[in-house]
Amino acid sequence: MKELYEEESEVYETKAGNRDINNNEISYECDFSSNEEITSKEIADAVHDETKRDMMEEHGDVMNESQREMLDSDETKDHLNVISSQEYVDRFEEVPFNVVGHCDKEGNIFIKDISMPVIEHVSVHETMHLCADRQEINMENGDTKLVSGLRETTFHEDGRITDKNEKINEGITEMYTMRELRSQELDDASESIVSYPEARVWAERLEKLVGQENVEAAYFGTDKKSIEREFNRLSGNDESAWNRFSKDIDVVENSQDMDEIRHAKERLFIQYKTIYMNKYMG
Amino acid sequence: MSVEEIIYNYIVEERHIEYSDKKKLEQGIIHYVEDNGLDAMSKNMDDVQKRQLIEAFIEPMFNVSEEARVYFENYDLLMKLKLLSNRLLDIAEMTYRGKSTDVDVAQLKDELSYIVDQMYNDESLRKNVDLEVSECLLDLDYIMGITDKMSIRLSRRVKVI
Repeated sequence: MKELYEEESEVYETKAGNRDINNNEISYECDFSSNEEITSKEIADAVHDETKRDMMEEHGDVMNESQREMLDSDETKDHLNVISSQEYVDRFEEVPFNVVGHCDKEGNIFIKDISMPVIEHVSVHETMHLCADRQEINMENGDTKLVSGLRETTFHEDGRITDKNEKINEGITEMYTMRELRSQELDDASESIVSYPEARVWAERLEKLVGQENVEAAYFGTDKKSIEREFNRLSGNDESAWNRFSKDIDVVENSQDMDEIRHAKERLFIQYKTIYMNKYMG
Repeated sequence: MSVEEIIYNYIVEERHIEYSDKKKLEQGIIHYVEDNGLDAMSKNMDDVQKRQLIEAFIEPMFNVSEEARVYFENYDLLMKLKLLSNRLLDIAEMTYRGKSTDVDVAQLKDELSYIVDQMYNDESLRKNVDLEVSECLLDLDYIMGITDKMSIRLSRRVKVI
């Protein structure tokens, strides 16, 4: 895989031009500036390394030992691959021409080198997932539970798959991503790309309601209970409040039915109002 | 004071965000308030409390002011893209899991084309949806069996770690 990056010798910024998605055609106005010292892959790696360093510094105290060891390793760079547009098209000729990137069967992410903000944004976002608490738990009943941040996906023995906190987890990932992009002064990357906007905004609200330390402990650490406990307590000791909240965020982000989304948004605002009033208005 | 007025004043007077189309902004705010049930749920509050609550609720949307302007001015169009995008992702997930999908893919492609055509006339809006449109295109080809490459969001959904 490595030879793919070494051939890159230019760093460039692109501005998307006219697109016709029916014909999968795209035209770009490109301002090329030769730069032999640093390639796009190297920029993605640098952003990746800085993100890992910052997250270890800011949240390392809630991470477990094996997570810190993994993040200390250089091998994490293998996860992200940035290749030139030409090479991308040649190598993945079946992929539509105006696609930015994709994931292969092994989970490797390939990003087309068409826009630095996209590369930087995706690199920080994926690195953030890597920094989140990650566990694979074999349950006594034969189920397997995969944990990534707040998200818990359970593969049941009978073939069912259940997912918890999928979208609020993406929102929190994106919230930390945006902060990290700004901290690295990557303004274009933070301002020009919107990813999971509703869930990210809810993540910001959540942090204000239950406290930064509880969100941090659940996302980067293994303490998933404190956030739920505080949310439920502020909801008037309603034990099912967190689960309803999390499910409604999934509905808002995943549903194809506008009425269903509206009802979920209304319920979310009622919960927000209850907690906000309990916390800030006595 | 209505919730719509609170949001409008917050955008224009508090945040000093310059709108590019006042009518579109007002329309977007009306539909946003309606969809979130903001008006109905804050009816019995006094003006001070209502303003405090609503401003706190929308404040996180303004970390990137350009994003917030684009969001409100194009609220309806963004919702249409969101619904279609979610549909494509669900079908792509079913395809991944080997479940049968009885859908007219050509029609979905036309729908995407129609929405994107309207969006790509506006450079700020285009930048906001580029990544999502890209993911939609890859999901479409994945559904049609043209590629076995997954969009990043599909991979994130089905693989977790």
